[in-house]
Order: sequence, then structure tokens, then C-alpha cells
Amino acid sequence: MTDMIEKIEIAKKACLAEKRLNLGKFGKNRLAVSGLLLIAVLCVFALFAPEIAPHDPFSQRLDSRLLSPSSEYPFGTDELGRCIFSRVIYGTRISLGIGILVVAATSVTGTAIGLLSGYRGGLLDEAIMRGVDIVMAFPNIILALVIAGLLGPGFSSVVLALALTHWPAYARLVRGQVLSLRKRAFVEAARALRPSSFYIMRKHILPNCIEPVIVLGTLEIAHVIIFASALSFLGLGIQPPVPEWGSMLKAGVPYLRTAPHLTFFPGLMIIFTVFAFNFAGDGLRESLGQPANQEVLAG
Amino acid sequence: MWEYIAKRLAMVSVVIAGVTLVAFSAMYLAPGDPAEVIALARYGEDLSASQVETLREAEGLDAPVHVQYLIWLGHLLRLDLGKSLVTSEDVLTEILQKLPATAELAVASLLISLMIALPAGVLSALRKNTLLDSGCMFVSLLGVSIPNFWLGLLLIWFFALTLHMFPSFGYGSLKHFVLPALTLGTSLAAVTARLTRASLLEVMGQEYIVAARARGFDERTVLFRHALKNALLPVVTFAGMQFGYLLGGAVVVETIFSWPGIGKLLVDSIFAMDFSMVQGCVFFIAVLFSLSSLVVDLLYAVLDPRIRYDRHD
Repeated sequence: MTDMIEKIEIAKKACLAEKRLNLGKFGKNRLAVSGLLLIAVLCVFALFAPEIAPHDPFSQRLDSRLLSPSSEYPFGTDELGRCIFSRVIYGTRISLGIGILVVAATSVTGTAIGLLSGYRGGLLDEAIMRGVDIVMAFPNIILALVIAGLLGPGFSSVVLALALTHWPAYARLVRGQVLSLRKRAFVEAARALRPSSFYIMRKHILPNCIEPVIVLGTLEIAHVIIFASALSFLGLGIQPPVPEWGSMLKAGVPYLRTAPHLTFFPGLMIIFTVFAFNFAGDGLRESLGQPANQEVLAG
Repeated sequence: MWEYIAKRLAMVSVVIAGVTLVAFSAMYLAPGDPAEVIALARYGEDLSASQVETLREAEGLDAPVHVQYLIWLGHLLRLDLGKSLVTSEDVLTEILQKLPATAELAVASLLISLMIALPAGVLSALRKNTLLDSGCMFVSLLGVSIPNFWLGLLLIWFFALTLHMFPSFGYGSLKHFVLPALTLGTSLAAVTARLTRASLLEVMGQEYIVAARARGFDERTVLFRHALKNALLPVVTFAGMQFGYLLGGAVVVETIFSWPGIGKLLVDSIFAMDFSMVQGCVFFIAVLFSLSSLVVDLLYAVLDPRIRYDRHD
């Protein structure tokens, strides 16, 4: 008898532990924690850009063009005599803004679509999944490039283009989770009381697939930031004089031989940011609990 | 197996049908009247209303949108992607002309990535949880985080402008390949190395490896004759799937290095508002990508007899 109760306890724990983030494990992962710290630093840059930046990021001083890094201008000045350090700091606002906006929009809509698709099943599921396939039939950046390019460059085009192309990953992930969850005992049990399907989805299914979505979202912020700066680098994204890292890189290309710091520092900032989100996301993924052991009760 | 192939083919045709719709609507993304945008691109700023109207009729833009789509689709079925709105070149001919450069770059980058990733992945799997392992994985995470346009510029600055070892742009000789292929290959290597490591670790934990060791084979034989064969299967198919990544990355790398491939063609046509060329490129790239993943899937089924496709998805 006690044996039986113990087994049920283990099974319960296993269910709860399914795909749960293990924050203790996350805390021990030094790289992941340093990723999180870097993200905090970036947020400080974005929030307090006017206090941190030593100069106005837009003020041009034609007598101090293309200066090398010095104590006055830590990262040097660009082709119009603007302080690169200040521009890079202000650029945090743009890149983090795009990353967070796009991931917020796509994770919510993608999750909703995935829930609907997985829980309803049938023809709706089939239609949604073919839609996902169609968007995913375009190699990563191609579709975003065309959408942003043809809509006309600018902040909202970049966000729209990246949002339209990045939701399928969430839909697929959540649908897979739902398919495995809906057959599970606790969902069957909940269904016995005949609540609305919306209730079951919100109360029982959504909480159990939210954590993989968080992991995906963290890694996606990194992707989105790279893509956004790639669009700007190609000239199809954020346009000068807005201090966006990708467009700063593009502006620096003609001076690559004489003043490589124009391209060096904005690129370093992209890496720094993407690195931070990749590390944090990777750590989160590793701390995701293993799937529950289904054999517990049978054994 | 045949049922799986039939199902997969049906899915691909649905996807390609959807792709035609997406590619066609590219033209209507641009704000404003397409006829006017095209006229602006072709004749410059000072154009008359009659010029726009003539162009509208000549390009069939006066028909309702769905009729235009059906006409476009009809041409497509006869492998006619139309003519460039700017240069009047045949779109398909132009794309096929640029294809070899992109394909060559893709193959070269894939080779470079495998040359880096396989040894790195195998080494870190064999020396799991050592300094070497965490070093390799750190570098690979760094590699994923470096945008390839920045890496490309850095390589140009160092190898072309400072050391004068390789040309910084252009196409033609073997030397022209080095920097673009390195740029594209290293970012791919980062992902492949992680995959190789994970795959080999999984295989090394299996019972047949223990059995092989029990039979007295030395580690080298176990690794090369028993483990790697199975461990490399997902790596090889992954390399096939990366074709799409290479096509996407090619857009940026080709632009930096002025590489005359499809990616650069696409970017140039977007700037020129050359709608039919954009439609053609987008459609062509998506079809190429879909077909390549189809081939990879089928190859995988052939290569790994353990895989059964009786489940949906």
C-alpha cells in the first residue's frame, strides 16, 4: 500500500516536473547567468542612454570626422563627426526594442495558433500547419527581406516583416506540446466535468507548454536582433541617421581601410547582445526538465 | 514507404501552391500603385499620366488582382517567370545565369563548415566536460552570435585590405572564393559542431557500443567503425537542410563581396522595385529550398532503415 502511494507521488512529481524550468540548475550554469547579467547591462544602456552617452548621438561636428578612439570619444567618431560610443549606446534602444516587440508579438500569436491547431485538430489543424509550412518554405531571411524592402524601410516595416516570418516556430512547438498533453490523464480527467475547451486550454494545457515557449523566445530575440541589423545593413531596414547598429556598419564600409573602427564597434555591440541572449536561452534550455518518465506507474 | 513518399509529395505541392501566392503578392506589398512604382523606376521622376496608363495596359496591371494572379500562374506552369520590369531580360534566364555562382559558394561553404565542425564536434564529444569541450562549445556559441556581415567585413579588412592576401570582392578565380566561403562556412560550422557533439554522445551511450568494447575493439575502431557511422547520419541530413540557411546567408554575403549570385540579384531587384524579378527570385528560392528538404527527407528514410513513417508528422 505505501509502495503504491509512493509511486503515485513520484508520478505526480514527474507530471509537475515535466518541461519545468529548473532555476536552481540554471543558477549553477555560469555562462547562462553571465548571459542574464549582460542582458541586464543592455537594459541599463537602453533605459539610461541619455545619462550614459557622453555626446548627442545626432550632433555632427565636421571638424572632428573619422577620429580614432580617444578619451573624448571612446569609440571614435564617424564620417559625420558623430560620437560612435553614444550612437552605439542609443542603438541598444532600437535593437532591444525590435527584438522584444517582435518576440512578444510572435510568441503570443504563435502560441495561440498552436494551441488552436493542436487542440481542435482536424481540418483546421491541417490548414494551419500547411500555412506554417508555406512560411517556412522561405529560407530564414528571404521573406523578411522582401517584405521589409517592398514596404519601404523603417522601424515599423522591420517589425512587421520579422513578426510575419517568425510566428511559425512557436505554432509548431506549441502544437507538438498540445498533441502530447491532450492525451494525458490529467487533461482527460479535467474534461470529465465538461468545461469549455477554452477553459481546458487555459487552465491545463497552456501552463504546461509555456516554458518551452520562454526558452524559444529568448533564443529568438537573438535571431531577431541579428536579422533586423542584417536588414538595416543591406539598406532595407532602419535608415540613417537613426543610430541602428546594422546601418552604422553599412555607413562604415567605405571607410573600412582608413577607419575600421566605424564598422568594428557597432558589430561588437551586436555580438555582445546576441551572445547574451544566446547564452541565457541556452542555459534555460538546458535547465528545462526532462520529459516525465511515463513508466513510473507501470513499473 | 511509398505511402510516405506520396504524402510528402502532396504536401510539397500544397506548399508550392502557397508559395506562388506569397511570391505573387510581393508586388502589392509596396505602397502605392504598382504601375506608378514601375513607371517611376523605369522612366525616372518626370513622367506623365499617359506613360503610367500605357505601362499599366502593357504589363496587364489593369486586370483585377485575382485575374493577374491566374495569368501569372498560367505563365509559371509554362516555366515562364516573365520579363524584368527594369531591364526587360527574361527572369528565368537571369536567375539560371546567377545560379551557378550561388551554388558554388554554397558547396564551398558547406565543405568548409564540415571541415571545421566534424573534428571539433567529435573531439568535444570524446573529451566531454573537459576544458577542450567547453572551449569548443563556447567558440561555437560565439560563432552563432557573430552576424555574418560583420565577420565578412572583418575578414575583408584583415585579409584583403591589411595583408593583401585575397581579393575583397568579385568572382572568378579560386582566390575569390576564400573570404565569402569562410564567412558563410564558419557560421554554419558553429551549429554543425554542436549537432555532431550531441549526436555522437547519444550514439556512444548505446548498448551496441558497449558490446563492441566488450568484444575487445580498441577505442579507435569503436569510434570509426561503429559509432561515427550512425552519429554522422543526422549531421549529413542536417547539412542538406542547411541549404536553406546558405541561400538566406548568401543574400548578405553575396552583397558584401559583390558575388554575382541569386541573393545579390534579389537584393538589387528589391532596390530597383523590379517586381517580376523579385517574384521570380522568391519563388525560385522557395521551390529550391522545398525540393531540397524533400530530397533530404527521402534520403533519410532510405539511409536509416529504423525510421518508419506510419505516424502522421
